[in-house]
Amino acid sequence: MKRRKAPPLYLARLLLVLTLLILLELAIRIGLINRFFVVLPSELIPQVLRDLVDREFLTLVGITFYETAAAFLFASVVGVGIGYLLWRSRRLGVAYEPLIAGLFASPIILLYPIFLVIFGRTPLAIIAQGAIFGVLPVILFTRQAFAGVSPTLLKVAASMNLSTRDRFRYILLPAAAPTIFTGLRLGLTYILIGVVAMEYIVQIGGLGKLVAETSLRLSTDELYSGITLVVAISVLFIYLTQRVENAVRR
Amino acid sequence: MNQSLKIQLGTIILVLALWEVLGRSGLILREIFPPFSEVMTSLVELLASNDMWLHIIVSAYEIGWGFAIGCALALLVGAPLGTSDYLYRLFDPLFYYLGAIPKIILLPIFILTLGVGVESKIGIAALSAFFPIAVNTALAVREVKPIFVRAARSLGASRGQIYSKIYLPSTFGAVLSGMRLGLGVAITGALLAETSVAQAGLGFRAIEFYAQFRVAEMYALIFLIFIFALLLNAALARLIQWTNRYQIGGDGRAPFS
Repeated sequence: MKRRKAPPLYLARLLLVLTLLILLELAIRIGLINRFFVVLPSELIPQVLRDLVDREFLTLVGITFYETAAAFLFASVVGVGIGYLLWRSRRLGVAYEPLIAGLFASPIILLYPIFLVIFGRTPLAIIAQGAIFGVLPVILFTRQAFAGVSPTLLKVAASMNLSTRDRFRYILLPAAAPTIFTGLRLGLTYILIGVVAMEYIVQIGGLGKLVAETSLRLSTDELYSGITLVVAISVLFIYLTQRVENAVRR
Repeated sequence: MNQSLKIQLGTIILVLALWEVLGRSGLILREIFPPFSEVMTSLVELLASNDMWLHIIVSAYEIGWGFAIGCALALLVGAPLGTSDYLYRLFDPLFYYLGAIPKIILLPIFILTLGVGVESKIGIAALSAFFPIAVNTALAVREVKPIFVRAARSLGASRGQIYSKIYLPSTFGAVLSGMRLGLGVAITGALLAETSVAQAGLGFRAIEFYAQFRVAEMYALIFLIFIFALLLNAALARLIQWTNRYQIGGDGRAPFS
């Protein structure tokens, strides 16, 4: 992926999104799409802005943000740690990789009743569930990242007599970073699914709960506003991960 | 028996034993955390019951159609994106961000438009599967060496021939890897949607057990779902490994097989 983007591309992207929104607006206005199902973009934007200054609403945004951040922090630290250890011990790594990959392929999120039973209907249940859901890809990709570091680089480190710490900081980490961050992003995606889905289904916590309640009330404006904010939070997290990645790789 | 297998079996046996002991110890309420043996007994009863197969079929139907629709759309969108540098750079960030959104949040919209039956679950599964497959396909097509395409063109290959003889064999592995991720999220999406609003399906049945405090049966059902997911995943990993051997530029490895 090219990281540098020419300004016209940005503009084209903006135009594309705007065109889609205008087309949607038109389709609803001429009755092609039922107003009952889809909110006019021109009405949605003021609604989102109104909600964003509403304290009750902001609390919900904050809860979802906090749950995602806490789960992601856990998954990153523990995942990279375990991934590193599984790389250091080749024997354990080879043995555990298929087991972890198998778990990763399973719909772990269906275990949410267990988390409810252990932690009660609290944000902690959501964080625990999200963290366990998200830690698996981080482990897998971290191990793969370190395993994929070119032996030449390690020989260079050895020939330069680098200390273990310097070897890690200046050779291993930068070389492994791209793959580790792929894992972190995948983990983040899974955590977002876990957090929002559990909020939505169990109706506890933040925006997921809001979306569930407003959809039951058939309050379409608020429903779309809630969905828009979930989208915004996801985009924000992915963007932040990208920024951290750029900083580490430098 | 090799060492990996010993460690794997050892770990699995240890976890199951711990589960059994914890379940029997009375440290945690048995109603909440039944021992493994009880869950297995429930599993046997479940498989023997008639309505179980209905739920399996409903879920398989939703996941199958959702995955098929998601795949078809993803290939149709992803392949052209990969062939054009401009389109790729235009759409890639959009897909990248949209892909991370938890699709389950759109369930209310799917329910409004498609109803509470299987159709809304197919919608969620299709949308979930779409993004990983489209992104992987676009990336795989983009990484096909231009020299292959130019060589084929200079030999007079048609557009269709370029797709079937150059793009298909060189992207097959990467597209399958995308499908593996896509299938995973499609399963999660469909079953989650079932736990929310549904009339049938494995997710629906699991949450019904939960509501009736039939916890052992619930665990048994989830156990069954995990086994299905594991088998599907292992089969796809094998397929990727197998196709990689015949792929142009493939290295014969499947990630996390």
